[in-house]
Formats: sequence, C-alpha cells, structure tokens
Amino acid sequence: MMMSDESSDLSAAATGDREAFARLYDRHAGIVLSLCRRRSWSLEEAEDAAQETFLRVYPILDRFDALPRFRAWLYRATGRVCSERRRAAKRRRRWEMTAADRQMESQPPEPTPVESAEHVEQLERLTGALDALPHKERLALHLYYLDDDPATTAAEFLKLSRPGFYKLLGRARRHLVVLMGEGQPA
Amino acid sequence: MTADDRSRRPPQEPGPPPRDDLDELLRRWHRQSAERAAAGRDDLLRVLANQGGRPVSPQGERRFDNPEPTPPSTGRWATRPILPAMRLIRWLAAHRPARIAASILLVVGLAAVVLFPDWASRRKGVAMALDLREVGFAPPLLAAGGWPALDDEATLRTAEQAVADARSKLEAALAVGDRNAANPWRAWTKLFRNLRAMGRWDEALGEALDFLAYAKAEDQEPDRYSMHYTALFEVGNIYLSLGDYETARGYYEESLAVARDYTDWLHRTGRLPDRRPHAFAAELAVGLPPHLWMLSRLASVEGDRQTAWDYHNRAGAILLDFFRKDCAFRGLTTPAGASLYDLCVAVAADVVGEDRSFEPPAVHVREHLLNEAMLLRLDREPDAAATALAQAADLPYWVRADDFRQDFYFPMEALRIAIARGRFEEAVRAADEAARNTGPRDRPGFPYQEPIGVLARAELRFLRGTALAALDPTDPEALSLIDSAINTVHQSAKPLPEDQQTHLLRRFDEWGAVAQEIRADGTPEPGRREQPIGQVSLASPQSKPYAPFVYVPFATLQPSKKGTRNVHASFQERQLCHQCPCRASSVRPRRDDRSADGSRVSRSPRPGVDHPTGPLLACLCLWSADRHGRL
Repeated sequence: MMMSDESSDLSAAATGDREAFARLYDRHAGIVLSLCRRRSWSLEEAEDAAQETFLRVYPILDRFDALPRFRAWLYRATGRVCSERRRAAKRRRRWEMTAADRQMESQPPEPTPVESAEHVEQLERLTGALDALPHKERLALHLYYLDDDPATTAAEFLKLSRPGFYKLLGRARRHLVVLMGEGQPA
Repeated sequence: MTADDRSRRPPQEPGPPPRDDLDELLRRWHRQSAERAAAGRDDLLRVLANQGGRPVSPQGERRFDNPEPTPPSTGRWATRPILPAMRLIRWLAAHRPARIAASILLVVGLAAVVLFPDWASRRKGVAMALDLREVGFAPPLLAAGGWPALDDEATLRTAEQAVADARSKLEAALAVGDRNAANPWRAWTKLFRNLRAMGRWDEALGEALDFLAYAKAEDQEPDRYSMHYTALFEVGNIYLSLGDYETARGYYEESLAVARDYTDWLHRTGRLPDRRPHAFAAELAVGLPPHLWMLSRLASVEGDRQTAWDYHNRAGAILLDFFRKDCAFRGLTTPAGASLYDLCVAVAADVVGEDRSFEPPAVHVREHLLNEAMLLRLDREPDAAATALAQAADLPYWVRADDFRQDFYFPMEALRIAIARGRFEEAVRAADEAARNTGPRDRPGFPYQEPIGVLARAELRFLRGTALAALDPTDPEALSLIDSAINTVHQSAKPLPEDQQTHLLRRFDEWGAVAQEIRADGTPEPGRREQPIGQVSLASPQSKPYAPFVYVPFATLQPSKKGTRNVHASFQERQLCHQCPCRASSVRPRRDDRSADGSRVSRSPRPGVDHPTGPLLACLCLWSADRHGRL
C-alpha cells in the first residue's frame, strides 16, 4: 500500500506536483542526509549536499519508471554529489579562503542547548564509526532507522531477504561496537 | 519430537536488533538526521518554486542561501576590461586545475607524437609479430561475432569507413551500367565482407545475395565463372558465420562446381597466361588448385578438421614453392624458406588447435603466408624489425589488392631492402622484375591504373634510378628515371585539391633533393660506388612513399657497413633535420655554394640558421636528434 502511494507520488512529482515531490523528500531525505554525513565535513555541508541531490533528481523524475530505480539513482547520486562538493570545497578553500574564514573554521561548532557534552561526544564517536562502516552495512542501518518498512525496502533495493537484512544489521551493529571502542558485542 | 528432529530444526532466524544503548544512540543520531532533513524541506520547495521547475545546474553551490542574481562586482577587477583569454586562464586557474593538467598532458602527448614519430616502430621481434597477426586476423575474428574480444574502436571505424566507401563505389559502378567500364565486383565484395566483419549479418547476406544475382546474370566469360563462384563462396561464408552449416555447405559445393568449371575453361581455352594478374589464375599458374581452399572450407564445415588441415597443408606447400620462386625471396636461402613454411604451419596449427570454428585454417593461409613472410624477413634482418606492414586504415585496400600485392609488393619490398643494404645490382634486378609485373592491364579499374598504381610505378622508377645512380652516378638513365618519377607525381597531383596536392608533393619532395644531389655531384669520384646516393633520402622517415601502400621506415634500418659511409659531410645534419617536424629536407643549394673549382656543391641546412621554421624548431630538432642518439 505504502509502496503504491510512493509510486504514485513519483509519477505525480514527475508531472510537476511539488507536494508529491515533498512527500518523496520526506521519505528519503533522512537517508540521503545520513549518507551525505559520511562524505561531508560538517552537518551543514551534508544538508547542502542532500538538498542538491534532490534538486538534481527533480528535473529528471520522469526517467524513473519504477520506484527501485529512483531509489537506486538517488542513493548513488548522493555519493556523486558529495564527492563533487568536496572537490569544489577544496578548490574554494585553496583559492578563496580568507583569514576570516580560517578563523571561523577554527572555532568548533557550538552544541545545541538540549544536547549535553556527553551526548555530543557519543554522537561524534558514532558518526566516526558509521563513516568507517562498509557502505552496505551503513545503508542497512539508515534504512532500519529511517525507512517506514525497512525489510521490504531492503528486499527490493539490497536484494536481501528479511532474515538476511537483519543479519546484515546485526553485523553492522557488531562492527559499530568494535569501531566505537566499547569492546563488547551488542 | 526426536533428537534428530531437533537437530534438523533450522536455527532461530535473525530479528530486529535489541533495544539497548547502541540502539538508543543510533535512534538519536538518525533522529537528528531526520530533523535536519525535515528542516531543509521548506528551503528546497522554495528553491524549486523560484526555479519554476526548470532543470537545475549541478554546478550551482549554495544556491539556497542566495537565490537572487549576484549584483555586478565593483571591485578592482571590475574596473578593468578583461581579455577573453585572460578570463579563460583565470577561470581555469580558479575552477578547473584538472583541465590545466589535461591540457599539459595533451601538449606533452602531441609533442611526443611530433618529435618521436617512429616510436611505435621501435618495437621489435615478437611484439611486432603479434601486431601483424592482429592486423591480419581482426576481420575474421569480428566476422565470427567476436566483437567484444576485439572491441577496437580503430578497427570499427576502419570497417565503417570501408563500408561507406564500398557502398558509394558500388553505387557509382552500378550507375555506369557498362560492366567493362566499371566492374562493381570488387566494391560489392568489399562491401559485404566489411559488413560481415562488423557483425551486420543481415545486411551482409542481403548484399551477398544481390551480388550473387548480379553474378548469375553475367554472361561474359570469364567473369561468368569467377564472379559466380566468388559470390557463391561468399554467401556460403556468411551462412557459415550465421551457424547455418547445411546451407553454407550447399553454397560451397555449388561454388566448388563452378570453380572446377572455371579451371577447365581456363585450361581448355588457353587463357591462363592472360589471367595471370588474377589471384585465382595466379594460383593455378603456380600449381595450386583454387578450389583447394573451398575443399578445406567444406571439410571444416563438416567437422572433418583433419581433412581440412590436409588440404591446407597441400595448399601451403604449393604456395611455399611459389613464394620460394618469387623474386621477393630471391635473397633468402632455402632454410629460410623452410622456416617460413614452419611459421605458416605453426600459425595455422594454432588456429586448428584452438578450435576456432569460425576461422577454418585454409581460408587465411595466404594472409598468413604474406604476414609470416614479412616476419621471416624481420627474423632474418633484425634491423628491419621496425617495419610496419600496413596501417589499420590500409586494410580495406589490401583486401582488394591481392594480386597487386603479389605482383608488385614483393619485388618492391625486395628493392627497398636491397637499396637499404647497399646491394644495388640486386635492387636493379628487383626493379626490372617489378616493372615487368606492372605492365598495362586489360581490366579497367585495376589497381595499376588507379592513382595508387601510378604512384607505385613512379616510385619504382625512382628507386631504380637511385640504385643505378649508386652504381654509376654518370648513368644518364638514373637521372632520367628520377625526373620521370617526379614528373609523374606532379602530374598526379594536378587534379587534386590544393591541400591534397601539397600533401602529396611534400611526401615526395625528397625525390627532388636526390635529383639535385645527382646533378650537383655528378662527377665520378674514386670510391663513388661505395657512396649510395639514395642513402640519405631513403634513410629518412620522410621517404614514406604513400600511405595505402606498405611503408618501410628505412630510418630504422641500419645500412650495411659498406653503405654507412656517406660522402656528404652534412649527413648528420640532414638526418637531424629529417627528424624535425619542419621537414627541412627541402633546403636547396644556394647559387653561391660553389667549391674551389667553381662547381656547385650541395649544402645542408644549418640548424637555427637555415632552418625554415626558425630557431625554436631547430632546438626541438636538436633535442629530438639527441634523443634518437644521432648526435
């Protein structure tokens, strides 16, 4: 049911329905942003990359005749956009970086008031560990926590059965634990 | 439930991860992502609304923060007019360093190609042999549908070009309507062979069947026979490539019957000598039944590889005998001929051993023999290892010019080698033999009558002239032959467009220099016989005769000890300038270049002074020569 809704949203968005596109965005933006966080230097940079990914997909929505193709393109394009933005940022820094920029960059990002220092530290360690995960395991985690029906999506997109998906998820978690240095399997 | 049942019970299926600290942390991390992504939703929709749904440039960065157009700059740069070139440089420097690197690489690559034109020909021995085989085998491999294995863009383009050429020539030939004036046979054959090579089976079959219908309508002998059996054979080839063995066998058998009729007719009417230029008849003349190939093909189709191999061996042995007698191999000894045969057998055995059903061994044995003969020459003359048999683009012509090659190419090759080796008497004999083979032919459109044949004969005269001049500089025939060759080139160039004219004349401009040298140094001197007048010119890579023909870069051939002595003190400089892309070989003696007794002397360009393109290229020239070890 949900899948057919998403498919109809895809078709509607391809004809210019921005509301349908917004619904598509709602479903996939979290995963896209999570993927971008791996390849970006900051959360803000990741947000820009995620939005650019959606801006790129918007004009070519009519090319996707099926939802899995759309999803596959979106996730692949995320990597490309992030790589391009990293290269562009490198160039910008090389040629245009001013003293003020350097000064601003040297200041660490301020934590939000609701997040304690411990939480921030934990999240940073988790971000580092997620960065080090293999792509498939990382994608499985993002799907599990952000997709409405992760097992079905994984079956279509990752070609995994439901047990296979959870097995991959377990492996990802074990890797995360090791990478975060806790030393004990979850 | 028994213990066995319990042991067979599948393990518990993995389920969702437990709710633990890690799970909580992951949820928080992903919640953060989801919230930040949701916060950007309005931005995204606003940008889309501003863009009106137009495609988005992927280069746009920070577009959300600043959707309005950027106001014109009022800074320092804005007050100056910026040249387009400067703007380009700034843009490259600021945004595309990779393109700068690419540009540098391109310039370096071009410089390498210009400065080291013969780098590819420096490969020796086995590597070269492989190249030759690739050239020879590419079309049959492609014909079998082995396109992925030979995904060679150059070959593809060559084949496409060949198809286009053949189609236009065929249309022109058919439009004439007079079969004697323009026989579409070769164009047609070339067309569907190339189509077949490209894997365009349907088109190839259609063309071949059209050709067969055309051949059946032919009522003039001997074309009635030769076209008919060729068409049948080619249709059989296409069916074989398509895997329809039964149909292929039918066509082969029919073709064999017509070929036998043709053989009988040639013998009965005594037309064999007249048909000498024809490859079919040439094979008959040397005792090789042409249908031996068909028998081999038939046996191969029927799966009788041993019989096919026997036929192939018989054909190879007969051809070997022919080649032994051929003037191209007059400088080789019998053991060398034996090794030629061994090579041929080895190649064909390789084909059989690998069970390449698409490539029956006998079909290409002539190609193998020709290629292997050249390999043999490379083996025997390691200095000639840089010889390139033909460029890929030359293949279509080669396909068509079997007999031309047989009659002309081998003697010409022998002639060039003999001159390069300083064996001038032998060169003159080879030139005479080649000249006998290139007399007027009765078939219009035959290669000898085409510009390529005219130029080939001109080159023959030139080479003979240089050989005669080397033997006796006072021989009036030498200069006469060279002048005649030069005149022919100029006459051939006249109808061409200006750029092609220039191109052609530049290719042959060395001949004028040789004539000048002969005129300037025409006085016999002691030891003159040891001073090959043509050595300087022939030793230059610029002496490439003409592209579609076999090009032997003699610059890489080391002259014999006898021939290395060059009377001209300027040889090194001339050689040096021949290496230069400016082609400074056309520098002529000045009026005031006279010796003490008042006679004119030749003079070489002085690098950096007489260099027509100035000191810069002279420097490149020096550097290039240094790289080649010629200084």
